[in-house]
Amino acid sequence: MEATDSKKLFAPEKLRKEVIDEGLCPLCEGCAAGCPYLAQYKGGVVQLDHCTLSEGNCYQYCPRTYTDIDALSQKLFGVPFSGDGIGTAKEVLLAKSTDPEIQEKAQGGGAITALLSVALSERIIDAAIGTRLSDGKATVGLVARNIVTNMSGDGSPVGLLARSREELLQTADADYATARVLSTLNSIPKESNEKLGIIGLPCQVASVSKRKLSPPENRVNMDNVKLVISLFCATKRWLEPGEDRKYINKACSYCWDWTGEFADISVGSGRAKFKDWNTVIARTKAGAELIDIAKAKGALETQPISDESLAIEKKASLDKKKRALKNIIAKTGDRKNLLYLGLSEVIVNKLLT
Amino acid sequence: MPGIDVDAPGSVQLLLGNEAIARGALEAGIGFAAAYPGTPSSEILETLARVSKKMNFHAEWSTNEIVALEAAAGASFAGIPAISSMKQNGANVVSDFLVNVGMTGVGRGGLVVVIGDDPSAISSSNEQDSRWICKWMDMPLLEPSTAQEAKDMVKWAFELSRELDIAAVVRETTRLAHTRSNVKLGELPKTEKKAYFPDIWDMDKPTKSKFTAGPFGILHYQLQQRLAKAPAIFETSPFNYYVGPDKPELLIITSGVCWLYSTEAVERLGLQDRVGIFKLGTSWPLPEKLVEKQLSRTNKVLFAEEINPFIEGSVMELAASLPANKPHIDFYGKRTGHVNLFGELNTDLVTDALAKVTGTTYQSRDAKYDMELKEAAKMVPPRSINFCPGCPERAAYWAIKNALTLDGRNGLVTGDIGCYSMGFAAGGFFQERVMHCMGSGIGVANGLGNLKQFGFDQPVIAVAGDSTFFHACIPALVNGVWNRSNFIFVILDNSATAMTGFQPHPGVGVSATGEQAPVVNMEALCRSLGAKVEVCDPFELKSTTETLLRLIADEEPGAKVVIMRRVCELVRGRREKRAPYKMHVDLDKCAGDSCGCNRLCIRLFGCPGLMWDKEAGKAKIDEAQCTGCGVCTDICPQGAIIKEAA
Repeated sequence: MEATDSKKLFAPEKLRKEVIDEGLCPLCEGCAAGCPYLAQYKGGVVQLDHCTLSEGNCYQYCPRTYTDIDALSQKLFGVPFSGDGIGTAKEVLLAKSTDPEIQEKAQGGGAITALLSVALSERIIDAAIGTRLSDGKATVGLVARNIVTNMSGDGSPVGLLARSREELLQTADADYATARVLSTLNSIPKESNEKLGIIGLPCQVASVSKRKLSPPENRVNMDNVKLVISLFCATKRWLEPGEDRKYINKACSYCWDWTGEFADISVGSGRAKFKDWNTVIARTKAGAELIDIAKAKGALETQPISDESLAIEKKASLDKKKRALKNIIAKTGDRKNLLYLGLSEVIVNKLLT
Repeated sequence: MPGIDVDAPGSVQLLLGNEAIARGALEAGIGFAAAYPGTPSSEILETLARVSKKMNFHAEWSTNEIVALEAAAGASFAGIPAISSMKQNGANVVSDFLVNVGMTGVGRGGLVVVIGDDPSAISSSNEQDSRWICKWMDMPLLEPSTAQEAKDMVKWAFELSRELDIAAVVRETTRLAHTRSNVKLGELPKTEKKAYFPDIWDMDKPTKSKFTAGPFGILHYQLQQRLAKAPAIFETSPFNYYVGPDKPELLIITSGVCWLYSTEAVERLGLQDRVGIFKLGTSWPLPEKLVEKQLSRTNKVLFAEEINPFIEGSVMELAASLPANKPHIDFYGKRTGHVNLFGELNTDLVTDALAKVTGTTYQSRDAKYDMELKEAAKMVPPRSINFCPGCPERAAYWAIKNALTLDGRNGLVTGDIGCYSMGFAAGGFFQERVMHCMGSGIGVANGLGNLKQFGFDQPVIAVAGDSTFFHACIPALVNGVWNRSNFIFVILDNSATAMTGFQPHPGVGVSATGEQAPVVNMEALCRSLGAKVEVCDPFELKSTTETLLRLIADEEPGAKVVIMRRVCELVRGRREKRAPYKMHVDLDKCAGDSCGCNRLCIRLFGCPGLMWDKEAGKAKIDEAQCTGCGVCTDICPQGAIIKEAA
């Protein structure tokens, strides 16, 4: 047994103290994925055994431990973080799949499935990581989860590596409860050369982006992650309007990112009369290129988003940021203590006005 | 080496104390031997079972000690000499029957009970001095000091039992049971034995046609009358003798192996001219005249006996009743603090006591020796209490730990004595938090599982081995079903009574003599009691954890059973002679001490077959220890521990 310095906290304990016990954990699985000491169970993170490392990926990759937002923005987009609404965007448009089968299965326009399908067929990626319900009842869209926390036991989503359009369709339909996207990512051996696409919620995408900043030593090679698609965070559509709030993880009230600002592409459902469409934000060169290829291949039908719609999306996103900041400051009682958010004072002031 | 059944009277054999006891039983012409294994007594029945066919007597491992003793008593009632051996805890188990058979008498066969005490609890849950059972139940007590004496005493104990019509107790301790020494053999009787339960109307010996205890107090009185004949017999017993000067300055009164320690201590201090030793082989009831005679030699007495002041108390009681004109005697022993009230004695301890009482200055060894010993001890790598390499119980505790930790309500394991007792230490991830006598884990769980009205919601998992299940758990399981106590009973079925040396039990299909036997199906038995029963392989770590979690979540009250079945790795190894897998660590994959592993396999799982290569900073298979069971492959978070078909 190693000597224990009572003053020094080991990484999982630090995580517990600063994130889990503080009610900040969004259950993204960023910590538990790839760690044999942490497990996600019944809507919580459980520490199975003591770890004796003071520095650990669990703490490092948590989207709710200190995150230098500017550094991330610089690394991923080469520009400082602007703090305006929907984040860095090369292009915002409405899109939908042209494939009737995808359209039928997917939530909204099936844009994600269409994009991934193209990414797979064009060998931009070899595998996409999404989710599928373990009871096989998956329906639409791809992905991950995070908002609804009342799901547990049977029927909880499992991670899925999709290497073909058929496998991809199994993941189609967004499931906004916790999925094993990150543990599936982490189960990929570091010597694997498979090019990967990941579809996740904003918190999971944030964890992925922290992995990009400082890649794990013994896990998946992050250079192989060629595409990150974020869902706009929302509740699963079977919830009645207004009903979702009570199922929402309270930790999500401290989340400032609605659209997944560190993805290559972010995708949300179209609003109002564009319900059969997806709102798509191309953030990086890779993201914009994929959209162009998908369009050229006829897999994706697009139309410009109206100024009015774009303004609504931006406002919703800004509102989320403002709410989160207010909640954080209410919790800390200090405008200078924003918990995990490493934002410049200028941006904080801008958001709070 | 010839077996203990060699028919060569007068020849000398090197025998284990327990083998000598078995030989004594053969020389007494036993027809029936029954026992339940337990250190230090196990080899008695093992030895007897090996020769039982050839020597034409019945030998069995019984389900538990009380069944063994009752079976032996049945034989004795029908005129067949019978022996039942047990460890100290067995004495507690049999006590209810034993007190009753005292009232009824043992019949014509003769009944000898061998109790193996384990001072210092070297392989026991507790330490106890079982000699008290003889005072409590009015039985004669014999304490052999050597293997020779053990053989001779057991043979004689049958005669004594028949003469007194009481079960005769021979008490051994671990050091005698497990030491080999020369034993001169006696004759093996050639007489035919005929079993017959006496007629109801046998008016010549009316008491012998019935063995029904109570309700008359007269039976207790009659027992006392029968026992009262013992001291006269003991007065002339060759097992009691005095060695030393006629009028010693100090008299040591001792019994059992302490006689040897005492003899050596006197020699070591060169006190042969000043100190005498009275060895008592028949410790209860006291041969009072003989003891009085020894006491009259001196006015200073030191008692050297292990654990309780049994002889010390008896002799002092006797001294208190001596006529007033006798000189005062100073008694030294446990009461005065010269001898420990617990733990084994040894020559050093007796020497210390003797030196103190006689005022002899004495240094046991060079002062430098202790320093050097300390230095040398540093060279021995520290070892924690752990399961054997490849033990399925480590895997079972791993699954239990994970299930209880995931559940998160501070669930606990109640267990008892067996290999799985080690679950209290690092080897079992400190999971076992209650441990007492056999069967008590599930008994205690019955209580914990019925505290819901007081807000108790911690999951309770009782563990017991397969042999212990048959021995002592079934009534508690019935109770758990009947009284709807909410706990999970895990039977760690490794198909052997592993801790005591792989003796068979009712579930394995073999008898003590190695013959095929019916298998008692434990899952069918548990199901018939009305318990939900799941059977799993503890090496399937994930599904075993899930099974436990499912049962923990099952809100229907009542005991639930999980049989975790995988044969003891030592038994498997003996049977198959080869490992299932060839194991190695892929050094490129092993993450060693870094994040994502942190030496999980060595630091936590802790199978002795895994070791740490300090230079490489990686895990390594210890080929001398690894049994190739393969379970660690599923522990490694990196997939670095590789199993290949051997």
